Amino acid sequence: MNDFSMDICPGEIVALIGENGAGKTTLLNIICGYSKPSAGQVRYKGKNIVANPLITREFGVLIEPQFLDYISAEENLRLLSQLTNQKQDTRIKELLEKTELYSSRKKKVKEFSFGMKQRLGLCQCLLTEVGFLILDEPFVGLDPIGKELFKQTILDMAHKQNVPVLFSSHDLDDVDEICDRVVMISKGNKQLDQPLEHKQTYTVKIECTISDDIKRSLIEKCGELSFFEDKIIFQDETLIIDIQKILLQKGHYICGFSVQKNNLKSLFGMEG
Amino acid sequence: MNTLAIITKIELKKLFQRKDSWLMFTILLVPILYSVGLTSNSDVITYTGAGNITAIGFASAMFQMSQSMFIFNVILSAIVGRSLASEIENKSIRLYVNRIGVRKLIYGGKELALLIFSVFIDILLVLTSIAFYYAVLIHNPKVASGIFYDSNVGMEIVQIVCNCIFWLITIFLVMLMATKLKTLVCVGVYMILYIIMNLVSYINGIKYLSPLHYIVVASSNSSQIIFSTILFFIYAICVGILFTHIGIHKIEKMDL
Repeated sequence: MNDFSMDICPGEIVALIGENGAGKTTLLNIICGYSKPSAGQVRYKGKNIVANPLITREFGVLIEPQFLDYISAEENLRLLSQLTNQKQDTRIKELLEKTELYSSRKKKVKEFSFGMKQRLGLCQCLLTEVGFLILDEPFVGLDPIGKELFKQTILDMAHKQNVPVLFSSHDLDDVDEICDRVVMISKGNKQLDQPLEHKQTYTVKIECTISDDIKRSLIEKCGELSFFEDKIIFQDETLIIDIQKILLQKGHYICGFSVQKNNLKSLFGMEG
Repeated sequence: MNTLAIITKIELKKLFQRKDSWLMFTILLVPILYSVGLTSNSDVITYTGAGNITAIGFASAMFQMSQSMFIFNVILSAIVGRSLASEIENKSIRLYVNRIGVRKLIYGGKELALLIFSVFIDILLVLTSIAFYYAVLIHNPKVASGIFYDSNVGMEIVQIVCNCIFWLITIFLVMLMATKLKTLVCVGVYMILYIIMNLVSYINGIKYLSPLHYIVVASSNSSQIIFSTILFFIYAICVGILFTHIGIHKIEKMDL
């Protein structure tokens, strides 16, 4: 990581995006205390985690979930609960039921599929009270029901329990659906740190024959518009009637019309 | 229960659940096979000791035989390697990292569990040797005296203790190697070190650096046996503290 800085507020869901090898997992490893930063610091509730490693006990972490594969799913969770010196049989049962692993609880983890391991990883990170949820590509290898479960869990943690959530993902649709802010990393540098305010905005495309005269009239009347080939593209849907009037006054016909809800893919120009 | 005790308990549970750890229990076959072989006058297993053997003498002989077989040192080094090196390699050590926070407790807990495991095996070996002495070997009066101990008991206990200490040193050494090397490499390097230790134990001047020297002295009925054992005890404590300190330092600095 180079000259990287970011903060997360309680209840906020932040997604880390970026190409393979950009540094997303490295950043998460440093935050969790798995890797030591050569410079700089990670602060949680105002305390440096390198100087106060005990504070990471409050982190719920799902980075390449690890288990003792020669024992059962339930035993794995029980072993972890012993580390916190608490009897958590009810919590274990509740989590196994929530992740639909209860019927497989006696199976050895080595017999689990990737998706089941991912679900068990979620049980691990929610076993104790979580103050900060950190997930590395949590939706990979999950079926649609599993994906939904993970998303709902993230949303519940953030919005109901006010827990900050940081996760990395390559799937922009998933990121778009649940996160409040997106941080883009490239080669260890922060490229973008932006709240997802586009969620309630739209892109309108009107298809017609566009002359220079029409362009001038439209810009004069409606302000900032984009033109691409035979398309007029704009974000403010209230301009539709004005644009339509101008086109009709100039004797132009509308050949095509589309309204699209904005998403991360359109933000990065990957769609349409 | 404090954190170190919890980790040690969990590590012990893991050790007894892992199949490779059970390989170490094959050491119990040594007194079983030896006693059965001697009682049935087998041509393969013979006893050439001076006079009839006592129960404690038999246990001591079984320790020396297990040590000379070397295979149990290799198995122990593999178990130790798997406890740390494999967990670092497959990242399952992360299960502890942010739940414990303090890495030296993770290292300490693992090491303590292995030391307890080793002592447990030693006790089992003594008990099995004594049990088979009275259950089987006693039926061969040419070999077994039928008494529990005689005037040599002090020396025989020292021999047992020295062999136990050697296994503890093996744990300290392989734990340290496991912070840097993979399990199989740990076993390979340990085997090479064992050969070097063996050679060093015969070279005057530097033989005191080899733990095997003290085992040789303990089994030689020499007059220096008490002094040598005390020295070995101090040696093991120094090695234990030094290797554990370096191991903790390494694990605290590394990326897991």
